[in-house]
Amino acid sequence: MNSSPTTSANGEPLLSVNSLRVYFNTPEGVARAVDGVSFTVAAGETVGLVGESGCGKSVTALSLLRLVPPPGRIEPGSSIRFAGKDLATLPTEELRQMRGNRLAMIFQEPMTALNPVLTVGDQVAEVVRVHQTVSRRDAWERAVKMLAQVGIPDPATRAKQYPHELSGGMRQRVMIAMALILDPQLVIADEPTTALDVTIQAQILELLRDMRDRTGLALLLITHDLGVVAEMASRVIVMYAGEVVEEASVNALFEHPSHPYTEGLLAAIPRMGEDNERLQTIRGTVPPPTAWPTGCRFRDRCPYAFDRCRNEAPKLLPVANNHYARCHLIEEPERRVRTAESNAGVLS
Amino acid sequence: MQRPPVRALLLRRSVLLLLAFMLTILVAPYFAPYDLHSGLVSQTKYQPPSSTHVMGTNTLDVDLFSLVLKGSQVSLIIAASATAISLAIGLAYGMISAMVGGWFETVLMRITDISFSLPRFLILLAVSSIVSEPLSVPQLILLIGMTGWFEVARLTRGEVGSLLTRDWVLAAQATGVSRARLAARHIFPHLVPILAVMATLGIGHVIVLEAGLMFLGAGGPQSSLGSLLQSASGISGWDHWWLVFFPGIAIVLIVLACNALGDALRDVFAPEQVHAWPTT
Repeated sequence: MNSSPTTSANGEPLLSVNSLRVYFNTPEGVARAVDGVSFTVAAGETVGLVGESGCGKSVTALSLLRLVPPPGRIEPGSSIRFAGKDLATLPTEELRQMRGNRLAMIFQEPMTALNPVLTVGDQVAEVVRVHQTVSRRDAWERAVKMLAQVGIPDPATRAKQYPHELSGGMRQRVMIAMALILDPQLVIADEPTTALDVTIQAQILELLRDMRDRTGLALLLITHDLGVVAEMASRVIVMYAGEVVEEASVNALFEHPSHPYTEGLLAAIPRMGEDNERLQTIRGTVPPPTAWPTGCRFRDRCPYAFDRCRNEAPKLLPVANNHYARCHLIEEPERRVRTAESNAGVLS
Repeated sequence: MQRPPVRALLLRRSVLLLLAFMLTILVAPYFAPYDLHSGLVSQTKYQPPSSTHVMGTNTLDVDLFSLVLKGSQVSLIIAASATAISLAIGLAYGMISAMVGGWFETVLMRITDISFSLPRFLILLAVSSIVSEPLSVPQLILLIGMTGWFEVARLTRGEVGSLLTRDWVLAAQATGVSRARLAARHIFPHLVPILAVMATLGIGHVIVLEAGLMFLGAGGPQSSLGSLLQSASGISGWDHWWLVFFPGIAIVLIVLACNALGDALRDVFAPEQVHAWPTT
């Protein structure tokens, strides 16, 4: 939509994640939060990573920077190729030099992601000082310039203020300034607008789109909001229960959702002007990551589930060109019939 | 809009008053009415309090008020220096164990747990009796300081452990901040409030500890308040009450002031206030 996928000179995508597994040892057992996720992000591309709470999308984001909090661990066999290096196995010091410099992250909660005891200017300038040998003053000046670029009025004064003196929207602009000040090739934005007011959300998305178009960075946008995806991304990855269940261009996904979960997500978007009395929902909740169901992990919530779904885990199958879904219905389309029992769960 | 804690601290009159009291103790001996080293100052020994000697005189006929001023200064210097050592060791120990984490943290914390079960006072007394010569002031400071950091280490580790779960720690690391920089620049400022409180309460505690050690003869004549009490201990009873009374009062006053300062600091840096601060 906004940018077309391109590959770097050697034909390799900027980021290519392969069978990423992130497990947590918990008292209830091993939580397989991310369980064999593979996807790519090309240079300059914007990819949406979508799913409901607990599907593993935030853990996926953190694992790209190897910042999964303990007891979480990236399992051996996972590979995160970024700009020719494997972030999953890169030595700590080399990885540190990449963070904030080559790939950066924007967090969900601007309220808590800034250190309350340091001025915002300090925190933006620190990113420069950590990666480059510059004087304190030069770093500060660059920080002020960057704050101006992300639309903070009177940046020289604002830079000297503490986070609590700024509004939520301003703080998210500061976070964006921190992420973008070194011109990273990839920015991971984890629910960048979820904690903000609706009007501010639009402004922040506008800013992100603006900065992306200006610098040509690739954006991995993690969200549960399909509206945000439609507005920003060219390609979408849908995650469910630690797995990728569907991957497609934004148009294909919205027009021909192939996985029942995606179908449910799209049906659950409220629309103006339709006389639906109640919102569509997907019945049930995401199962706990310590006990994913056997076979298809979505089967207990799926309106089309049949016996094969219980016994056999579906593979990610091609639906069309560059469109994949993890569902047996791709092979047996005649089964796409709602069972009577499942209709009770779909409220319309 | 809420002020940052440091400015709020300076605005507290109680804090200023108590700090002024501490400073007075440190400089007072230079303005003492009588010289402590010139030997017999007045005509008779053991003068009771009078207008010339407000706290009376001692065995050697030295003015007790001047001795108490000097003793307060020495006691405070010993206590402050020893506490500084304890804080430095405890801070480093607690911070490193929390930042490294894992089994390393577990081992280090078990070591402090064990240290807690050792009776500090008796160890100090034992060490000072093993050393044949009376302890010098620096030795005493070192001894007390090196046995007082366990609590500091434990509190620091707990605080750092909880700070490490904050979002801004993750966000800082995501920008490439190293562990060392994270500790020094991002986490340390959050520890200043509890360190200030631990320092004041620690000083009060060490003053009592040191007085006890001196009273039991652990040190030599070091002119601290404890030594004054010790030198008065051989002299019997009520007839010479001032010899015990005034140094005792001085200890009580200083300790009360330290605790009050600690409480005042705790109010200024109320933990819930510090924690609520980012979201207001």
